[in-house]
Amino acid sequence: MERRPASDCVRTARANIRLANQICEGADLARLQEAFTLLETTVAEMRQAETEVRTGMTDGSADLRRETKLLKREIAGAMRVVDGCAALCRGLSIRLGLTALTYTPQGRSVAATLSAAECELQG
Amino acid sequence: MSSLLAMMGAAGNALGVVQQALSIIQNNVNNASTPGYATQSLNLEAMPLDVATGLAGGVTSAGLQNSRDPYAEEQLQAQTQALGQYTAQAQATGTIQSFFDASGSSGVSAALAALFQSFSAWSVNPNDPTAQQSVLDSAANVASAIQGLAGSLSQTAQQLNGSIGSTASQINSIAAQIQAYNVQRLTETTPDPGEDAQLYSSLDNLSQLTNFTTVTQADGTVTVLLGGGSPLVIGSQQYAVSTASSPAGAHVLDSQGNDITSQITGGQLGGLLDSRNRVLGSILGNSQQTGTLNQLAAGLADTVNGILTSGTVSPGGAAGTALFTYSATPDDAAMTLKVNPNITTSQLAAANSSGSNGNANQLAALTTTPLAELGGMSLTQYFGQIVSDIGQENQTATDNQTSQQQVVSQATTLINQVSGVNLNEQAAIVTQFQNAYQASAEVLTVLNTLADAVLNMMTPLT
Repeated sequence: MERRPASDCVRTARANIRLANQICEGADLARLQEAFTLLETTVAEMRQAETEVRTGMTDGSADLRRETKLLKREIAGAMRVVDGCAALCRGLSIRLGLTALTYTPQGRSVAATLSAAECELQG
Repeated sequence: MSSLLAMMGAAGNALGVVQQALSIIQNNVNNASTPGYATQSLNLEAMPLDVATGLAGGVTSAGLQNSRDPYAEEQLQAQTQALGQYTAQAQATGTIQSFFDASGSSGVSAALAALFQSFSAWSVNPNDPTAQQSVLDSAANVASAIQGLAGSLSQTAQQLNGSIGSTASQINSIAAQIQAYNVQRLTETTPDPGEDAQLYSSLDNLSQLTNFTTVTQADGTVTVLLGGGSPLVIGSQQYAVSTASSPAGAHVLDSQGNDITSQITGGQLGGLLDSRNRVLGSILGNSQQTGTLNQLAAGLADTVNGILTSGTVSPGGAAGTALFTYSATPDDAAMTLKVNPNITTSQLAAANSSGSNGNANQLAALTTTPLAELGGMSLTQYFGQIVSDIGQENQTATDNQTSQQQVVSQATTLINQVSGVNLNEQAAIVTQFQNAYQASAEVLTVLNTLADAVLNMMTPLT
């Protein structure tokens, strides 16, 4: 793996997230898949950023800190969109008698409990 | 012969039903772009066939069915309410932010910097009339900048009051449309598709303006309740909302005159109320708080006046005079801050017990002196904090608006995809989308964890 300054990796991650947001605007399954693939690539970028910081490969910590904080803001924005849409899907799933999936704050998938499902429907 | 007649009757009846179905399809095509219109379909029912008893079979109409999913409609309206709120907040905080110069090259920041510079120059030559006059001029500029800022913000408060009033009028106008629908609905056994479309279009429009819930009654009328349960429309009765302003801010009143401001948390009205009462209130003050700009004005005047009046114009000379004046009402300090009209350059007290320029030095040091009345911040830091806070408010509102726009856009598309298809198709579509969003949420959580890890590892390096 070619070594790059951590801030480069974070900048690429930010660009990827912005692009993923644009791609999935239309709620089209193929485009959602495309956005998902881009997010997976972004994970690789951030893993490299983590490695570079661990081994001291930073090109100015102030810049990296600023870029990483901006990245976190962009992740929060994307998460908001995903949360909103996922909640709608959960409600529709429950109404259709399907298993409503939800996720923990750590990102793990779990099936919604009956009481949680009722809350979902009532809003 | 009777069987033949019965069969011909059945065939004729079937043709009538087909004609009805075709006209419904035509109606769907004609209304494809009508706001709020839901695709209609005709339920067909088989007629009993028993030749022996003269039942000729055929089909008959079993009523209209529309593709509307009330749950999906409600969800979309809830998301639209949030979008209306964030959009109003982003616009209002953007306007408020435009009165603050974040660069510090103009406005209050620049005027404060110039005042401290003039104190510094005066401390070098305490008896120089030019330096003394510069102090008076700079003080007048600071007072004027703070007063101008307070004036612009007060004007914005008035504009927001006006917007809140006009939004309430729009809400009443939409409520009148829904009430008219209810009146019409009470005269019909089945809802007219055109009127149904108008109702849902009205509800969509209402969701941009405020938060509310709807209940469809057994008689087909729609009850609309504002966020906290205050009625807006019940059956054929409309309950108009109104607005008022007081020293506490802007208020929304129900038809009985009760204050329901706290119930309005969504839509454009919710966003405007939040910007007017919370954001502007925290800067300009109201009956519950002094306001940060008033605290700055009072802090500046009290501190400078305190130093000047405790000193003397020369060692052992006459006592100093206060430089600033402001109204005795604390929440009006910024609007009334001005230079003492009676002060002259010779009344500026540069001296104190530590020397002929001890007082002037103390004033010059105010640029970095922490003040207890400003929470331990200096005057410059405190104003910087006000600018930063409003910038943060605007940033948050803008971020929320961008994200919410996407949620509404995606939810609309998703709902369109699942409406008007059979349950099996709906299940397949919803499962695919649910999995896609689920997977994205998991990856985003991993990314957030990695970003946190990078930030945490950096702490020892800085």
